[in-house]
Amino acid sequence: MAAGPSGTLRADTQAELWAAGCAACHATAGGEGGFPALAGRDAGELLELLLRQRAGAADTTIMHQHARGFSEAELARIAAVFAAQRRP
Amino acid sequence: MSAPDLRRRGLLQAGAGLLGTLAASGCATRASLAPRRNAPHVVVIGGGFAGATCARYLRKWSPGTRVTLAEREPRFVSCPLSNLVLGGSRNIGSLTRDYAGLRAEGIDVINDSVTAIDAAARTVRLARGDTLRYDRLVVAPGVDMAADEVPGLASAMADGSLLHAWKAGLQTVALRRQLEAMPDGGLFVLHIPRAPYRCPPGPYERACQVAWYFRQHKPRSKVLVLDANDDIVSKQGLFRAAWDTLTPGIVEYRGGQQLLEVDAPRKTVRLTFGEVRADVLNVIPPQRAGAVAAMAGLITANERWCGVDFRSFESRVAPGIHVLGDAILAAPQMPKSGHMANGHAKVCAHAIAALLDGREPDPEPVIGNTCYSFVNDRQAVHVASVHRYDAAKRTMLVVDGTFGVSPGLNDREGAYAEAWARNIWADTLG
Repeated sequence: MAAGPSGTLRADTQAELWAAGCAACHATAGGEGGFPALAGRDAGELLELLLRQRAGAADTTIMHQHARGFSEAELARIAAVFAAQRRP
Repeated sequence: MSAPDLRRRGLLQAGAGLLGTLAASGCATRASLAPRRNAPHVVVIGGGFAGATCARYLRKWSPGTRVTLAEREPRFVSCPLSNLVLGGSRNIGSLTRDYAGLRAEGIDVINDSVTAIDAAARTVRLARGDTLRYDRLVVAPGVDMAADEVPGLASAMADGSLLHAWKAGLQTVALRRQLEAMPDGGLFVLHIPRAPYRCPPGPYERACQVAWYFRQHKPRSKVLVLDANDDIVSKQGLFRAAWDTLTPGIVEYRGGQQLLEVDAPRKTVRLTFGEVRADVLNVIPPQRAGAVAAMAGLITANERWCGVDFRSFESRVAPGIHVLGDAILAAPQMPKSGHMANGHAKVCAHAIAALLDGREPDPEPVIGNTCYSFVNDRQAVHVASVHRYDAAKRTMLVVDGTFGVSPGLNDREGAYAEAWARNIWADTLG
């Protein structure tokens, strides 16, 4: 389960909702079958990856499309949410 | 969540008196987070991708809220991947899950159907006789088949002589048996209703799966796709490529085929331009919001779909009642998909958590969609997009640059599609 929900809510409610969208493919506590776990990932590394995907510079199938749904600042907030979650 | 936590939650649910005692003694963080007896109560109707996800995320984001989920079926059977049962590479058991995961997270799952909703009194009556009072109601009934719109369809569906298999389960298995029993050289006819219907690419994936089965086992057989739409609704180039390259000569596609009448005993459909007789006939009926939506007076569009405020998925006509999933009047280019339903549910749960806490819902929610289709037993293709609320237009719009499909048929996305299914089932059902 993700880190203390009420704590995270107070931190950045809106980004918490955006990050929850990722769980459909990546699952709540880290996915399987090629979808990497997101909880507990370093925020800087995750943001860098998302930005490369967004720019079409990473080897993706769908992530370039999903990453383009958000601004750079929004992606940074999503990365911060995952960084604050406990690794499964 | 650890095992002792689960056991303690079980105890808490066992009796309100016990719950009161434990909470008063402040025995543990979990106990204090568990809903109190006078806690707000959200009732969710429907345990599919929309309803189950909403119940789970309500527990996560509003731990003090009591959540009850009413679902008619004892088990969840996934529509995504169910066409693979027709193709022969999956069995229905592998698509079936129970509701134990939701119960373990403190959701009261009631296996019963709803017989009445009183929006003024804020109550839901169950077939077993009792009534649930709610502070907010979430209606996620999926679709019902509008069989009355085509002569012959309702009676054929009622007596079982015609299968739609558009809700995964026994019908899926029965349609597979019909395909197995059909002699080589036979004709499978699939009729597709006018959009919008559940799962836009689903019928074309079904044509791929049946054609793949024929190619392996009954190579002289044919698939005839009769589409009420003028052309393929989703992933058009990819499905044509699949039919041309994976199963050449098996699939014939005809667009603009209005269904006028079904004669199930003769396995015949009458269309604007003549009749077609099948060896195995599969009609996907026109659809509308599930009956529970009409029960609560939530239908706002074309006597079919429920209009909602996309910031909270609250009904446009019934305050305090939220509608999710396939039953809603969708925003432009928003498909009726399991992935979308899962996304609706999170926005709704997030908004309800805020409203119960006296805060405003997120003014600009964002929902992503990904739909995979299997073109044979291991290759898949996707369509994906991201949808963001537009305050001026009061709807959700596709974000520029996010809509797109696979460059071609590929194995890599076949593996992703399998993993997607397992992961979204886990995200939905715990």
